[in-house]
Amino acid sequence: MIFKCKSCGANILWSPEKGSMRCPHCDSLDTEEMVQGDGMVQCVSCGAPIQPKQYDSATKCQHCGAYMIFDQRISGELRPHLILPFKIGKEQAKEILKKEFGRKLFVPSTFLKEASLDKMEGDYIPFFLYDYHCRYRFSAKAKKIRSWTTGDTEYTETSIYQIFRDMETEFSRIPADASIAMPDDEMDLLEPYEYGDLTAFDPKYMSGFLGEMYSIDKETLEPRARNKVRSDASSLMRESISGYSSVTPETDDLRTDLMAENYALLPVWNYVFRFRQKDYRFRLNGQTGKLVGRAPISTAKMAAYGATLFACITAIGYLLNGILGGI
Amino acid sequence: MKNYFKHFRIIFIVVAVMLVIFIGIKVANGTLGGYKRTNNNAPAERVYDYADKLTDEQENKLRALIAQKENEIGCDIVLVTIADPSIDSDYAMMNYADDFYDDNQYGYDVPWGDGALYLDNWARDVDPLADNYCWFSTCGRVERKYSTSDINWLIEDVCRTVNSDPYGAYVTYVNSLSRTMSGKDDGFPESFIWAAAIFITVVYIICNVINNKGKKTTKSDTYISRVPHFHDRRDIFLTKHTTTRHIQRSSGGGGGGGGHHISSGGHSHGGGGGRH
Repeated sequence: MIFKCKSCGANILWSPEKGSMRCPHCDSLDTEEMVQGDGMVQCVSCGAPIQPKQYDSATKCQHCGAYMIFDQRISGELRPHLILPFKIGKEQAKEILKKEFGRKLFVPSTFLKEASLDKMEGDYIPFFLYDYHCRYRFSAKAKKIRSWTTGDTEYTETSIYQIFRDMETEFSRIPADASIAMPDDEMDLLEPYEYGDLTAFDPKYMSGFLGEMYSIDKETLEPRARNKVRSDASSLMRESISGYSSVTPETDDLRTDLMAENYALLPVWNYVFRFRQKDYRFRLNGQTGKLVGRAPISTAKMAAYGATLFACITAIGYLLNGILGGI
Repeated sequence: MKNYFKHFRIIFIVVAVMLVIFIGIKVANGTLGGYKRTNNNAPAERVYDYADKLTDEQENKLRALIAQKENEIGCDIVLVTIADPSIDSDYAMMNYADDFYDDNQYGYDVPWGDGALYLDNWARDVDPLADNYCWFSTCGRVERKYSTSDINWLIEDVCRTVNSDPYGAYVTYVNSLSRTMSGKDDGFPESFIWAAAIFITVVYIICNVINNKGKKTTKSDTYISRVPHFHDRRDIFLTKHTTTRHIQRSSGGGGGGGGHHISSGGHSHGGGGGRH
């Protein structure tokens, strides 16, 4: 399917800045109409052949630039329950990259050039969001150690306590990305998303962006989310036990029960920069603007800056000696 | 390129300012093109080897070295060797050295002006029971520059080899005096400057290369939808015990000092002596 402007017939796109559908051609707002396509082999707008990847649910026609959404990959069991629409537009995403890396001295000069940044694409990444009920029973022996000195004698007092805790809590919408293409560590670093903006899935939000359907099922992913919950619950338990020098657990019983799961699409900006035969990938949370990625280093720049600093410091040292000797 | 100059603008300004100050000091001291001798009362001779510890060739080489260094630092450099067991104390050495300097009206700028004299008494060559005294007499700029510890360092340096290699030891005297007066002994040692430059550059590069992929910004309560409720939260005191340890104590201390004097000719001198 494709969304077209009722006023001019151009491909109408979701505008993160406006928070509505905007026609880039005639600037009309919310004048979209859905046009169904014919399978996944040709562009609905220009008829050019398209070759979506195995898990693509939305793509861009390489010929006319129109954004298409594949109905069969967002319906039935594959239909997401929720979607978090992009709030950061492409220009804002570019500015965030420039702000983050513009002050880095050794990044290649082409890294933040407009031509490179234009290749940035917004992508809806599939996630499963899990809800858990949690009950944590914990007991331990703990020590408080206090030292003081009187005269030539150092005293060490050790107090021993028995600790009991029984905590109950709930975790909601623990995210786990369901895309085999996206590295888990990078997706984890993009968190957190502000779930207040989550809305019922509507394909119009995908117009103007790429999209993926899940490539890992919810059962396979669930242990990852459960591990996150266990880690967070353990941290909460540790935070409730303070002021001790050491804690030796006796009972450590954490029970996590899955209550619900939701399939959702979350927004991510992707920027790939190729430098010296290596791809450097940057991800940007399409809602909060949080950036994840390591910038490439230009050794020529590093050598030039390092040599200049070295020369200046050496010159300052010798001049200082000359000045001190001359006074 | 624009970013490069913008980044280094402060350090470039610092270097430029220091360069201007350095040149200014050189101009103010009149030493930009080297020192100019203004005292013509003193004799041309600088090496008086009355104890005959140097060969003629060594004396000539020493005179050439002294001439070169005098021009660089603007101070007279005099060496006197004697073999006189009657001069058998630091006080007598000091008087002899000061009088020798004053009588000859040494001083690069004016008579009794900037200069130094090293007096070495090889008394043991005449009387095997006598001590070999030495004295380093300073005047003018050299007197102001040299602290007691500087004088001791110079004497130690010379005495270390003077018995086995008098010529080498007297070359050490000339070079050490020249180095101190030219300011090369002031401020930071060269090795320190290079080490500091390397260290700062390495730290600077590391700081600019370190490039975190991203920071974790979720906390343990980010996804909590219900505030943790504690059905049981008790900390029960069971027991306590105390241990003791005896502490060993220690103590320590230190000290030092130095000064100037007026010669019999009424001129201010500094200096110090030793034995070898």
